[in-house]
Amino acid sequence: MIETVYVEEALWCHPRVAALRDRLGGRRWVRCRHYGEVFNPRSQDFRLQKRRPALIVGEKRSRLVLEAPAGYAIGGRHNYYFSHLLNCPYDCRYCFLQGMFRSAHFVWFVNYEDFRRAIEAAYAKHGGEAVYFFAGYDSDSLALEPLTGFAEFFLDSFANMPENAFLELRSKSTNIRPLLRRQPRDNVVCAFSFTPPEVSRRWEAGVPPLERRLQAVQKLQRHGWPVGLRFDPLIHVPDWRAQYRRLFEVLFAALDPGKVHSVSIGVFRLPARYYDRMTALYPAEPLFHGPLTATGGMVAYRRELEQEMVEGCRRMLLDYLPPEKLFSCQF
Amino acid sequence: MTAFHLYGNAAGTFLIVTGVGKVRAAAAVGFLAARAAPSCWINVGTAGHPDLPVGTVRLAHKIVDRDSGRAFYPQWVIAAPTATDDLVTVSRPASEFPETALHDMEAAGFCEAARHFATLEWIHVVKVVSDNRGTAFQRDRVGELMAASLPVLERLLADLGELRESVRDPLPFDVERIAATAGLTRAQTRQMERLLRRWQALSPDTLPTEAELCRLDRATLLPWLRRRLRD
Repeated sequence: MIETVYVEEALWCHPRVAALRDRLGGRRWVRCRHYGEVFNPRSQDFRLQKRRPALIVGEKRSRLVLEAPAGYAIGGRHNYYFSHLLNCPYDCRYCFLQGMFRSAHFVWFVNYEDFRRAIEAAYAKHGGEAVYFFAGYDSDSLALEPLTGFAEFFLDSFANMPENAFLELRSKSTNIRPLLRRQPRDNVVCAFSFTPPEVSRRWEAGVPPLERRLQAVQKLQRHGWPVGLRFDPLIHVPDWRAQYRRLFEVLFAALDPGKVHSVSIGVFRLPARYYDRMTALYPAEPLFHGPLTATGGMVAYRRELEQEMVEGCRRMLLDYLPPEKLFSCQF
Repeated sequence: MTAFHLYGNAAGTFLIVTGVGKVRAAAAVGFLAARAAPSCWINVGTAGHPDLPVGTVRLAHKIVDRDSGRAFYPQWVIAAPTATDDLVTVSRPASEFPETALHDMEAAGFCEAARHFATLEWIHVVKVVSDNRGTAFQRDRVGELMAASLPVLERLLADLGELRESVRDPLPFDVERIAATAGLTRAQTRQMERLLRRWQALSPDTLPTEAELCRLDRATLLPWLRRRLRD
């Protein structure tokens, strides 16, 4: 539960902040000049803050929409990402955010209208070609929906955009109410990330159990929303092949593979400086002492193991899906 | 004869009397850090406030240095044992309070220095209101006022101590003793610790004993650990 809320002075009377004050009431409210005053100082402990994260309300003033890294795609040529939220309420031990940010607090950027204008401008640069906008890169798109109203706003925004302006929401949560309240649209993909249940129980603290998430995906699919499945990153455990096979069996027994929009596979790979910070936070974590190797400033599973896992999962997935729906995110 | 009065107990808690002003507060932090390397830092003292009654105890959730405008935000990863408030550190004693906040003369200097020795979760400021718009500061009441802060201070120390214990990831060895026995440099000691942590994470049941490790010397200890980890 959020106990402390930091708010940029200039946003104190912003309608979304006023609504938040009504909702959260008597928490510790602290005003700051800029969100970075709280979020960016070096002397912070991500691991400790994860126990009791605060909410920092700020305004994103520049670089609102960024080009996605090469390889981060689900079939489009033009790919962007944007982040209304930094950090995530879940505590996935493999998550690169632990190495990227000094603070585990949630930063919520409330200037949605500016994001929308930046999205429209990015779309306009490509002469009517399809453009994909990914919303779950630096956070979970839906996990804090009751506080942020992010999906409520952007589902309406993309309803008014051309049909080839795509939005991908990416989540491990079950907060799907805003989607169920609306008519489905083909240009919004609701993507859900999965790891095998054994992996999830061990390394994804706070994430709802597989069964509940799968029910949420089923509901969305029945409602007509395009849903995506994300296996990113693939996590190595000694019996990874058997665990992923069982996971795919469970998922595709419950879902209609013909109506799955896309499936992507990603590898566990992160900059060495992030890895160093993460191992400093959790020195006894076996995940960080597995079959990893450092090459060219990046830490990843050994090349042959990585390829074996990607190819192995790809083959298993091809039992359920045509190859054109399957994407490999390797960047 | 030292620059500061310093008291300590067997539990590893130290009290240093900083004196007045942020420069003295910062110097005291440096002085103590050089001698005791505490893991947690608390600045305790008096402060003025426009409205709060004299004797009210508050923790600070934001500390602003009035001179520089710089702000510090102690991070609450434990429940605060009493209410929290804004605090402004000023350079000269003031009887007027332009802001609805605690006003003191040390906290910003203390935080500026302490953040070099600990993260913001371990740095806190406890203040007792000593004066307000209706009551002037009385030096002879300071002892009595500080006594009022003790329950909050003790609770804060206990909670931070528990927090410290809960995040310790101890190796079942005295790393420093093994390093001293083998004659390792600081860099080699860090390497040894990393290798032992890796071993502990991967196969805790097969960890060597401290006695086994102490039988190895500077030339053989690290290669032996690497070889065993490869196996």
